[in-house]
Amino acid sequence: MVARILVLFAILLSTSVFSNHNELLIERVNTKFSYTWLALDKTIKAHNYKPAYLQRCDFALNERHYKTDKYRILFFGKYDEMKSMSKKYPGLAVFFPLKITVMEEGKHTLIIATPPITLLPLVDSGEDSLTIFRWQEDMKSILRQVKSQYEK
Amino acid sequence: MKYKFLLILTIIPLISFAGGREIYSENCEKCHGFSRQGSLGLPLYRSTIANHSDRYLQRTIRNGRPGRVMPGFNLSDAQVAKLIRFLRAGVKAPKYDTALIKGDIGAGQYTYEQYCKRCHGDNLEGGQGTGKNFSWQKDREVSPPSLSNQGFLYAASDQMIKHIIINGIEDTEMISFAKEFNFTDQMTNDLVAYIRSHQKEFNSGEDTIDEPLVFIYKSPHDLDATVSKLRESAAAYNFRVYPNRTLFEGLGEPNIEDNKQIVVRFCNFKNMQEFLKIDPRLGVMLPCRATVVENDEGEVSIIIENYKHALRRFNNDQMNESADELIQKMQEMIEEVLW
Ligand code: HEC
Ligand code: HEC
Repeated sequence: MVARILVLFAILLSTSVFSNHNELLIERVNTKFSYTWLALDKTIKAHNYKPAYLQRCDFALNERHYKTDKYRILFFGKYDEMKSMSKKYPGLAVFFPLKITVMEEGKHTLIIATPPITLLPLVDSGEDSLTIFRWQEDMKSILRQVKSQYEK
Repeated sequence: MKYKFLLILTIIPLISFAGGREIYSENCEKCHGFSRQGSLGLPLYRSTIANHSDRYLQRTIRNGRPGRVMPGFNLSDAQVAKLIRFLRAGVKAPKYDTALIKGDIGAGQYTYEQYCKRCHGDNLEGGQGTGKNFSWQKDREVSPPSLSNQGFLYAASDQMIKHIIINGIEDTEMISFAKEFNFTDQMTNDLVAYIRSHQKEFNSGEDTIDEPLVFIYKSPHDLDATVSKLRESAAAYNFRVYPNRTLFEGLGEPNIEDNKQIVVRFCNFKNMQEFLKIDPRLGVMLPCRATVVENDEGEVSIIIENYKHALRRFNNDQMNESADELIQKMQEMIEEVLW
């Protein structure tokens, strides 16, 4: 219990000092799209989430401004947790599954996500807030780990 | 156990002794690139930074560019100093007098329109999109920065702006206007006064949106009818409609109950392409969707995200302006279903 309160406190502190409000979470990965994609898939699994499906953004393919078709969104989640959360708070459903956008940029790849803490206003108990904080930490950790796998 | 682990994770950043390179890598590289070659953000080459005073860099790092993608950073003075040392890479900091430059704003506007507008935009708002984004073939190598951005105006002294106009920025499309177009001192002063006239009271605090995160509409129809009306309505509003998914498709064993939560996905390609040119991070908002849910009491609701909040996270005014229409269209589309 004490540990939990401390965690909550530490997280509140760290989110207020380090991340700026609800800025998008972004990491740049020093490798090309296909490697990033595989690393992301693995890292998501290692964090005990299940990759569900991908969405290709084929709308950009024929566009003459677009140099690459390497733009995809990976959806992932935890069935039981997200099911019970969306039952309790129907508004959360529109944000499920969680997702990470992957786009190639030259020789690198950008991985981008909405910070899960933006969902906090939708829940009303400390316990459920803690769940959202955990998604936030997991999301950040997934992005960072993918990046660190290709650090020089 | 789980919680202790989390605790350690969140405390680590509090006790790090990172150097300039690490601070850059953690906070800036995502937008300015591994070797500072630019990406979503501008290139930060040594030759560019050579024009920047410490004050300019400090204020830019602290406040970012409100409405122009770059966030402000809550770094300590020591961290900012290390970061700046890293960016300078040995080049000495220029010092500019902070006294304001006097000039004729009207004359400055005339010069601006003749020489600068074609790159920095009608209202000094900068190019479409930001930085040097490798995914897109834009008409320019680097999207010209906004000169009316309040973060920029708060950070840049008149003398620094003058210096850049006169000397240009090495190896960029920002040429030396003294050399190439024989700008006189007076012309440059007028121009600086015109640029400065766009400054307002600096307010780094952001205004909050007084609107819910999601909109939940009760549907008068049953689940199947709601979904099919939604699809029809989306098509009528010129969206391309994708096959339905159940909310937790791919996440667990298919379960009968899952068929009571349906995601209707749709896209308007033309809109999306426009947005992508402004901000390649668009994907975090895609695809547009409405989630149709039937609860245990058999009541059916349509839930959509309030995209105003999602847009705010881009810190990109150009994006906000272009999205209003889309948001309104989605709302009308849903209202048609409920009717
Ligand atoms: C051909 C396009 C072009 C024209 C014309 C042009 N600029 Fe620029 N300007 C740029 C670009 C691109 C940059 C950013 C270069 C970089 O840092 O890589 C820039 C940078 C600047 C900067 C520095 C701003 C910042 O955020 O660092 C100032 C000030 C500026 N321009 C003023 C002017 C003025 C005043 C004129 C007209 C006399 C002008 N520019 C004309 C393209 C142009
Ligand atoms: C989310 C993307 C993003 C992040 C993160 C970011 N920047 Fe920027 N930065 C930009 C953009 C975009 C601009 C140019 C704004 C414009 O076009 O008007 C910019 C401009 C700048 C400028 C002005 C450059 C010039 O030529 O005048 C400096 C300096 C700068 N950033 C430094 C940093 C530093 C240092 C960090 C890390 C602490 C950082 N930025 C993090 C996007 C970002």
